[in-house]
Amino acid sequence: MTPPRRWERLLAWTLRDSPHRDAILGDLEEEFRVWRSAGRPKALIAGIRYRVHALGLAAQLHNDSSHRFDIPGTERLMHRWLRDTRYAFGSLNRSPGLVAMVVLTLGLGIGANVAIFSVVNGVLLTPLGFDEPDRVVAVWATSNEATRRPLPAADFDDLRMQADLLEVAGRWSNTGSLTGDHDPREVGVGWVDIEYFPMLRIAPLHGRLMNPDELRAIVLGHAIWRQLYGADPAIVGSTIDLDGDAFTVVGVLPPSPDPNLPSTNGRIETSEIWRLMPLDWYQGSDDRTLGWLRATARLREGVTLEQAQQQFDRIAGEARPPVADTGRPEYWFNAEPVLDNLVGDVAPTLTALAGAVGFVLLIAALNVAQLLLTRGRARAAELAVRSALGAGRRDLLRQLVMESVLLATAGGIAGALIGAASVRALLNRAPANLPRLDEIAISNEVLIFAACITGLVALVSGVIPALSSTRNPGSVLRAQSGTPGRRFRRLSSMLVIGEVALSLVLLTGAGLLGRSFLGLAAEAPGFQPQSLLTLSVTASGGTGGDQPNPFTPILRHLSEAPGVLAVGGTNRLPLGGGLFTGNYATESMGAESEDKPWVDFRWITPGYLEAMGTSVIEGRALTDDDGEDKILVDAQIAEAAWPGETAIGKLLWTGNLGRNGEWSEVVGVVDSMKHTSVAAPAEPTVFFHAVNAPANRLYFAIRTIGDPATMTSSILAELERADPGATISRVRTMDSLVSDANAPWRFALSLMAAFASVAVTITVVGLYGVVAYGVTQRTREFGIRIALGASGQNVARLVLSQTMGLVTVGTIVGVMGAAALSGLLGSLLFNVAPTDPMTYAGVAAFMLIAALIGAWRPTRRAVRVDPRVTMTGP
Amino acid sequence: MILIYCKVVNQISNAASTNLSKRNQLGELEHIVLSTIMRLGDEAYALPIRAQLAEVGRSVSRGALYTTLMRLEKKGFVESRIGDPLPQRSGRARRYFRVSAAGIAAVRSSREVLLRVWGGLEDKLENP
Repeated sequence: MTPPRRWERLLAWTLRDSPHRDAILGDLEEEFRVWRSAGRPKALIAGIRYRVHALGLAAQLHNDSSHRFDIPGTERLMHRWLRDTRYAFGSLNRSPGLVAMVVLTLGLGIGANVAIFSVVNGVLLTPLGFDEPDRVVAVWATSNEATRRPLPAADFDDLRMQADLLEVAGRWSNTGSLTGDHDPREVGVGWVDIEYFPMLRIAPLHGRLMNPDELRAIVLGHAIWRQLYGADPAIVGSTIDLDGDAFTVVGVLPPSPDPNLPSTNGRIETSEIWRLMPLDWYQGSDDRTLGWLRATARLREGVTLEQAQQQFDRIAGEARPPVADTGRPEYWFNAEPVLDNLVGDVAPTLTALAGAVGFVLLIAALNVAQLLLTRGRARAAELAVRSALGAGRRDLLRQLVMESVLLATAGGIAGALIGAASVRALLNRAPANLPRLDEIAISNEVLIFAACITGLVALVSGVIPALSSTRNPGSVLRAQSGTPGRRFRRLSSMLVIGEVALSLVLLTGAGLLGRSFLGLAAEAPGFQPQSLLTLSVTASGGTGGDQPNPFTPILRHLSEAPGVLAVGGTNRLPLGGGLFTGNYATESMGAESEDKPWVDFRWITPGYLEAMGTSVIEGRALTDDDGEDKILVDAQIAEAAWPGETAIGKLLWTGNLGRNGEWSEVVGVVDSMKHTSVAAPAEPTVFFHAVNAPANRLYFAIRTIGDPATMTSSILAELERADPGATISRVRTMDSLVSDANAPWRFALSLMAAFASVAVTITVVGLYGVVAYGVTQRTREFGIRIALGASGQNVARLVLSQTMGLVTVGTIVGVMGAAALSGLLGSLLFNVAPTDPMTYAGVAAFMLIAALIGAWRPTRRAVRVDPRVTMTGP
Repeated sequence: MILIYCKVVNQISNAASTNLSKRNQLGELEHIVLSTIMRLGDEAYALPIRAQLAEVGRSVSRGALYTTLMRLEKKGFVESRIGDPLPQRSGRARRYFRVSAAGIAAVRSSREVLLRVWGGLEDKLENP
């Protein structure tokens, strides 16, 4: 509640000899408390207002002693500083229009930077909350076909037992249905081995972790403990119901760090409750065909990443002899620092955006420099008089720089406020799969950053014009106005060229992203997302053993419901995450081949392809009469395995759940479907019959007549009728899943477009100012020209040719800059080259037209100059 | 010689007294501030004075108000007293102002001048 003490001390020092000191300090504090009591967001504003008022008072009331030599030098300096401040306050007070313009320009520039920096800071720079996070690595299986694959059980067991340079821990995740006093709720379940939490150095907040072999023990995540159990520590020791079985809650995790590691393809699978994996899932396993386990490890003391990688390579080589043509095993293990794993995919996007937003700030600073330069020119007479009265260049400089420091500070404050508001807006729009969203906030680092760029802006936008304006200030008194000096014109031209060039780079970025986004929208994902409702169903009946598949009657019931065209189930929807991988062999390769390609595995029910709108290219889809020995492959596998031949009737050896590889017959070839991202090429996929789905949970794809969103409630009612005990969750339209998958592009594009439009607006407004000022300066010249017979066209050509000359140079520089920098957009570019000529031509034309619009009004004024008025003078 | 000296001293003192009388005339802001203090009565310290000024449409910066108050006090037009230390001011007291007899006289004379100046202009001032 106390006012900013440093500023209070400054004011007290200024008033130290005044009998009114205590009254004035008290008045300001009293008012500060009124400002503050207005509420939480006002507290920040109150602090800022206090500082501004304290500085204003100190500047106005101090007893100027800067001319006295009997006081210490530091004190003289202080007085001089206060005098300059008062002068600057006064001079800015007289030009409110300029102040508004500058504060708005800088506020936008700094605000955008503050917002983006808080994202970069939260996502990329803030260390993860683990103990020594640099030592934690994600461990992936990597083959020639793909990186970041989960590990098969036997390989995980090898690493666990043999990689003694690291502590290795494993995790698998699925979902479960939690029942109790609350509504049945689908929760993410993390299955971990006993090493997992000790390896991450996470100790429980309440209770304890699971003991070995304690398969019916649950550790609650912090968020769900607060949500479902009211943050009650007494929950430890009680029993909860998961998928119909009773579990004992033994502990609760702390709020941070987040144990959900590692991420798959940039997608975090969030587990809310944690249980032990049965040891026999991996211990002593010989299954090296089906990858499902996510491994995370911590480097032991003194071990480097390279040493760990060497040990991994040795272990991989012992289990699998190297393949002849690559010298590598069929696949190997790859250790990746866990922060890279989490944010590696978004790092290039954020870096590109940070660079772009830096350009916006630079343009804003150049524009302000331009404004101050013109203002200095307009104030030349004032400066000349002051110089004639004995002010040295240093005095004039100091005062001009003080003005721009005040302006930049006001801009910085506006920027911090705009930035804080933008961060909130940004968080609402950010793609949900942007990792570490909760780390994004206006932190101290962000404010320090804002202060630094504000100082930088003050320097760039203040010093250049101040130097130019104070150069030889007397000259203006000798020469009676006329055209501006050459030095001034050259500086002004350079600023225009710089602004245009920087804007063009941003425009090009936005243009390229726009084309990528259009390309994405037009890209066929291998299925038809329109009119498709998806949801996850946990059937009440169990699976496995001799029990009939519980989904068959539900699917049949639903397919006859009104408004439903087709319905099918799968273990994982396209673009919905999750990954099972395995390898295959053809008859000619043989099951013992060392070089079996790695592909995706999916499980589907017979109606699934029809519901998804995926076409069967050859053969037929699966039917209810097919068993587990019939499979489908996609066009990529058919082409790779049997080039030039039909795939129908061929035998394919694959790993499969619980069985270490067997032969199945290919009955159909289907269109390739994009399973992880619309932008990435489709993964080769084998489709198995979902009779043997890996869980009693299935995703349904329901093709409807008309808008699926409006049919949700009737479909849910039908499901309730078909299986009253079923848990339904994750109800989404396929369109919205596609839209989520494209969210990173939309995010980058909307930001880049916003930056580019701010940049172009600032540039055009700046250009308008420059041309208008130039025309005003040359009114007399134009009057003479018109009097001597120049037509309006001649004058317009004269003004425009100079302006557009500068803009053209700026555009050329900008195109070169864009060509050099657009490669940084890298993975964000989809189906468009970084130097796409169409885009470049388009944005260059756009820039020229925008500049022409900006220059048009002042040019018209030049054309309409009345020679009689200008020649007789004012 | 002595005569000349006396004459010079006389002239100087005359000049000084004209200066003083000129200083006794109130500036526009001084006039308004004095009137506002009179209106506020016992509660006249800087914050309500400034608020009142803003209310009648003559906003003034904090610094200008303090400068004016100090000047008026120096001229003897206002007197000030220190109030009690207050917690919402970290134990600092308010300085309350009161218009002195000289101050009231100054406002009165200033008012008379203005009334004389405005005399007969009511019509033009009311209906521009």
